[in-house]
Amino acid sequence: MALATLRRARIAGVASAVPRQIVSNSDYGLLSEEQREKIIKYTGIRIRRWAPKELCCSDLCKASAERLLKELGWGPEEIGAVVFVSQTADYPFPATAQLIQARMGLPKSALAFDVNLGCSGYTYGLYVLGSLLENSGLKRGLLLAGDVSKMHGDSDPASAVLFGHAGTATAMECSAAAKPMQFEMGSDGGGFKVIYVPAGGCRNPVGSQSFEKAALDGGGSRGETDVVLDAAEIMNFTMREIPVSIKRLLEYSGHTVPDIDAFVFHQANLFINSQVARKIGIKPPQLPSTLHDFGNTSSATVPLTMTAQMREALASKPLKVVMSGFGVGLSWASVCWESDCIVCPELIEL
Amino acid sequence: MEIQQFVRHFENAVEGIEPESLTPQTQYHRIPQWDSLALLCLLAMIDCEYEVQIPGMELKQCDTLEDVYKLVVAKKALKAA
Repeated sequence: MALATLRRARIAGVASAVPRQIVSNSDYGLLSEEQREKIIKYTGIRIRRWAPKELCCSDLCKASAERLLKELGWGPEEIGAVVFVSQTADYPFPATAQLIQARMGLPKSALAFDVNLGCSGYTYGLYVLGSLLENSGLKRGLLLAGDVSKMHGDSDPASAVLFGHAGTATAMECSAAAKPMQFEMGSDGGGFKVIYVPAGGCRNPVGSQSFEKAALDGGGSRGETDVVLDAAEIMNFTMREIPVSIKRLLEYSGHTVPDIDAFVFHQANLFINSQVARKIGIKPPQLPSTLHDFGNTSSATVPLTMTAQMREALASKPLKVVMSGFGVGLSWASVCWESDCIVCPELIEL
Repeated sequence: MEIQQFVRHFENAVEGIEPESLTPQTQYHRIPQWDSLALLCLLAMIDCEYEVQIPGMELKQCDTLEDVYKLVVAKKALKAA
């Protein structure tokens, strides 16, 4: 586990975009009504946003970034770096960050690169971009985070009802007025098969057999291009690592649980998040959630929750916030920071 | 830590089980309430009450609640060592 502090990087604003189309877990046909209601109760996920075929994560992130720059009064020419955190790039290569640099008219002098992370990607991305700004002399940058993944086959009930689509943008700048941001991060790649897609990379390229669906013990079926998700081991990983990570972060930053206005957790499962909160002693009012309306949107869940649940508070008063992303990798990153009336536009629908 | 108390914790954790309806010999994976969500509830209960984690593969080797209880006891001993 790594502890680190950013001292001059500041979050200036956060914006989020989702597709207009809504899908409801109440309509999922491979489960009985009783099973669906039980899953909705435990996961917390009733509806999700789903992108049409032509809409990519980069489109949602670009819309978020353009709205954010406009409300901040920042010109595209002021952006020195753009980091795209996603597992759903526009193409296998080049990196999507370069495409966004061109589409947004960001300067050719801008650094642009992708980071392949999911659940932990937003908080990791804050550290990556913040460190870059602090050490490069660049003043302003954009962190774009989200996923529009279609690798969750409808035929596997274990994953079909969990995921939604979103793309977000976070503006960061170096500022003498910035307050310290403390991070706690870690990795456990030995557990990567807990959440992964078996085929499609160099290790196991897609072949005709990849699309054949094999029957699953608990019902449904899955192919090699569909996500494998072991909920029990995700639960074990989360309960083992995340309470420790957050307690260590609080100790490192000199805070106690009651000091924190909001603990913004990665939104994957309401039951698991409530168990983590119980272990740390977090009260329900400190634990915002957007699972009910958006499901698991990968690296977008934390900024989307800020937009959908905390927008007015973030824009109007200082808040002490702990954000924690955890999951695919396995990987996690938690950050403790104090907001200072940041720019937080309304949720964008495309 | 007593096995009867473990069984009561299991009954409380998994939705829809009548209090004091199960025994240490109950094959937990054969009860009508057993599904993937019940598994999460069991793991959460073990983490909450006994402060250990049980890997899913090891849990699958357990047939009865007594087997699970013995596994929890072994994990706790390992943790304390």
